[in-house]
Amino acid sequence: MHIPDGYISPHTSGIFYILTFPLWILSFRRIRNNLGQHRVPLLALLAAFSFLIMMFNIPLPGGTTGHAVGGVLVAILIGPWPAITVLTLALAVQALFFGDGGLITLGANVFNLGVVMPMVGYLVFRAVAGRTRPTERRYAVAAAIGGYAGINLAALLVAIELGIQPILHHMPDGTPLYCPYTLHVTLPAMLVPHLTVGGLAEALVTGGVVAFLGRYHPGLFPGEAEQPAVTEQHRDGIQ
Amino acid sequence: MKYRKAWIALAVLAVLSPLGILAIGSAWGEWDMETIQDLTGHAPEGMQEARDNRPDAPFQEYEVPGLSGNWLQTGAGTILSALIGAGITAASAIVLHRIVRHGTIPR
Repeated sequence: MHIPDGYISPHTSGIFYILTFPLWILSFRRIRNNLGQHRVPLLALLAAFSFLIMMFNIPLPGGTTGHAVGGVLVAILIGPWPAITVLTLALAVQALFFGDGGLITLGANVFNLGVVMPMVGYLVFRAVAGRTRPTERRYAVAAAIGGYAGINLAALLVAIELGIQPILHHMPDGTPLYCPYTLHVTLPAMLVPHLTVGGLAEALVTGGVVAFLGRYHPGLFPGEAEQPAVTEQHRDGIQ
Repeated sequence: MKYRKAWIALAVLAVLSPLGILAIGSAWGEWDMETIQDLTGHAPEGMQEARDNRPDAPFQEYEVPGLSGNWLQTGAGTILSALIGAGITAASAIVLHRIVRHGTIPR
């Protein structure tokens, strides 16, 4: 899912840097204003986690490989805005030190995996979770659904970004300059594997970790630590 | 140390990371130039140019220079890459937080 340099044009890459730049600023501001000093170790922990989880390639239908990203999990644990920074750091280190993705395409990769995936996945999670708390089963199920939605939306974006290249950039005789495949190829190639195995892997990682932490460390979730324990009865009484 | 157990879990993930390179095949749309030439019959010019101008990463493909040849060395290289990468990522998060906290961000 990391677009390497050369698969999309410098022009497309530049547009994604421009789109992503203000979101970085907003993410930094959220971190400065809303992220307490006590949550900085969590920021570092989640950045290392997302770096590592992306190393676990699994075989996907169609003979390709893919991996979970952890973007929605990060958003659930530290908030969707700080998640942008967390994913950006993991993607930047992957591109700079390991040649995974690219430096020119980093803006696009951050937009797909670091902005849209955590943001939209988080919104889906919130919508499904409703007012449930991390200790409840629906909370973890919502996390899994959010993860599934997030990775598939990212896969859709990658497919579109790659698939429009032959239309946008080609030689006078029509020979493509960058990604040679059109949307007819890129859409099924990205979506079929992710709607099935890739999405399932993301759902299992997101839902699994949230279920585990919800059971054993519910205080880790945003808004949980500060509140005094609310019993079911109290909560039902409030509603 | 805060989140000690979680850091241990991440270290276990790093040690298990060679499992992630067992998957046969490559990610769709992340091929090298030779593969794309095989697949499509030609090397797109703009792609070739971007590839030629790309600086080599120190640990390209999560391999540590000098650690390759047999599966044992490749596996060790992957684990080392995982530890180095996770370490740099975590450290950069702390550094970035300091900069964001004490520096100025445009409003």
